[in-house]
Amino acid sequence: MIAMKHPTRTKGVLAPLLAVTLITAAYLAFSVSGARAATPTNMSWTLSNNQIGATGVTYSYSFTTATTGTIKSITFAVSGAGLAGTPTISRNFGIGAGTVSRTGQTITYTVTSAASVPAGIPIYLSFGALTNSSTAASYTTAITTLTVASATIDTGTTPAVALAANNTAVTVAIAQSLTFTANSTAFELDMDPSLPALADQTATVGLTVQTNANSGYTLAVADGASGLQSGSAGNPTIPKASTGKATSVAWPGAPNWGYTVTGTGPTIDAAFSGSKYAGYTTGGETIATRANATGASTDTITITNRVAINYGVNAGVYSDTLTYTVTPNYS
Amino acid sequence: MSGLPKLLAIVIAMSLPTAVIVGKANAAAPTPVGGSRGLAVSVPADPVPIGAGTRATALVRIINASATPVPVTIESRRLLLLDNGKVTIGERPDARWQRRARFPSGQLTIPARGYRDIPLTMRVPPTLSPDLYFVGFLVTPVPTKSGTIQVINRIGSFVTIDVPGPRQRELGGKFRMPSLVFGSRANGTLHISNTGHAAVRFWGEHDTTSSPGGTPRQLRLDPSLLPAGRSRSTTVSGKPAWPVGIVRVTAHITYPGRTDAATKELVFSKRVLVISPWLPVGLALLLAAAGAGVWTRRRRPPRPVQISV
Repeated sequence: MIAMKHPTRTKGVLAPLLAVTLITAAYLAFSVSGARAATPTNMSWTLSNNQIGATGVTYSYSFTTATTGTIKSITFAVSGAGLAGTPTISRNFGIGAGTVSRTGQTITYTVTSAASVPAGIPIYLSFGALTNSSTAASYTTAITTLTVASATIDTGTTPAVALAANNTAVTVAIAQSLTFTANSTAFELDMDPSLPALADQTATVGLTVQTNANSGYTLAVADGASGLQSGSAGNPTIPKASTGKATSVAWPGAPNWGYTVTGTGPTIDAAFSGSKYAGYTTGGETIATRANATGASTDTITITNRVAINYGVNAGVYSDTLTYTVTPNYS
Repeated sequence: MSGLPKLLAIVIAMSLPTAVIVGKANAAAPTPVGGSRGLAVSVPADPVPIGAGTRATALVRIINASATPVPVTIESRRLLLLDNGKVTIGERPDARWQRRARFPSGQLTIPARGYRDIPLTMRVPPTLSPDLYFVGFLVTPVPTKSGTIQVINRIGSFVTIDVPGPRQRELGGKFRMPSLVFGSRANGTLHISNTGHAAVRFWGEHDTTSSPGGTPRQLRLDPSLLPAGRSRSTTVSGKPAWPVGIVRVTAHITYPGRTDAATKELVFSKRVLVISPWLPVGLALLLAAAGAGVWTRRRRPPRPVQISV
């Protein structure tokens, strides 16, 4: 009885095992053949100038890897003839640092330290200083990723790009620009120590800044070497609220001359938090910064200048020059 | 006194305090002298290539957004390049470029709602080594209205020039990120320093992989300039695909080598265990629910045992 049952059970186990083995073998066979010559996806090729014979052209390639592999080099074989120039590397993303060279129609990017790149990784390479072919035609580029042993990992061809003499090459150069406005070029305060409302006055100066500098800007303020000074006998001055922003204080009362800052957009120096006032310095101090471009919106900075006097301050006309300097940051 | 003069007298008497109050309010307000002034300065976005021993001209544009003409001066100024892209402009001319960059002398009047292109000719001495150089200048409006307190809105700017040729570029860096984070994402700081002798324009990417699950993410960094001796800090972050996961964040910083035909790379990598703050709460709720279930079961009267013989 037992001997009769055993062959039946073996048959029942073997059939699915055989099927699984066949499926696995088929999958492996197909995946191995795919690894040999898979085609990258999302392949594109753009030129900074598609006029024939143009020099200093940047060729930018992007594609997504189809197969996991250790990429040592990538070749970009441009169809036709006449490609020239000594290429430079403008950008590389998704692939390690390397070197670039050109031989005939083929640009070769060699990775310094070959590393495994998984499938599905977007790679972008941009090469500058190239010279277009002088023959008007439609061109493609065959992109091939290679292992250390020069075995192909992925290979494919980009969509065509037309080089022609009658193309209109459009170059839009956008300058790095910064706009700085002040809502007032000068102001006067008519003060009188006999009445508190006239003895303690403020004047606000509204500044706006707009820039496309990637790293933003820095705003500094300064005043004249003499401060708020009268031209009358003895050249009296109204003392400053503090020696600078580092010693900013709550408004100290009369007699003093100082400023505080508020704003929308930039980072205002913490010295002015809590409506603290500081005295201007001759050497200038940074009061607001921004670490990125303003975009289409405008940054506003309000500087509230405050003067408080009492009978201890000599009568006369006091004057000063406030200088607000904005400088775009480097990026 | 007839009716009309009496009424007039009352009106005058009532309006007098108002006039005094208005007078007080006017006296306390600052008196602006002159209107607003809006200036803009534009320079070439990319470095201007000038070979050693040669000269080239770059256009600097000064725009007047005001409704009246604005006289300005343009003068050479020394720049101080600080970390993270910050620039401060000095009060003295740049000794290196004062005589090699030809700025217009005297005042220039920028027409109302108009602009002037100022050709800035720069001469590079033959001995200057290949590098990026910054020619700083200051555009200052000249006050035309008198007032007790003058307001001058100046714009400092610079033109970047590139003296071509091989140069020694070297970057160093530090990557700080905690190994364990209670939160939704791991944040770190990448600090890049220029330790070489020439300015470097670097670019890079942050790659994030999450285990378990999650597709690799690639965040590209646009080129940034780093003068010799200066540094930049950027924030790097990674998020797990699930409330708990191990995130591997790899930062690549790439920059040109001695020439632009080769690049060098700094690679920083860190594995971080990220645990969502909701996870302990969820687990606690689960445990509480399980405990409540057990407690309820224990409180239930025991089933009568049936013994069948």
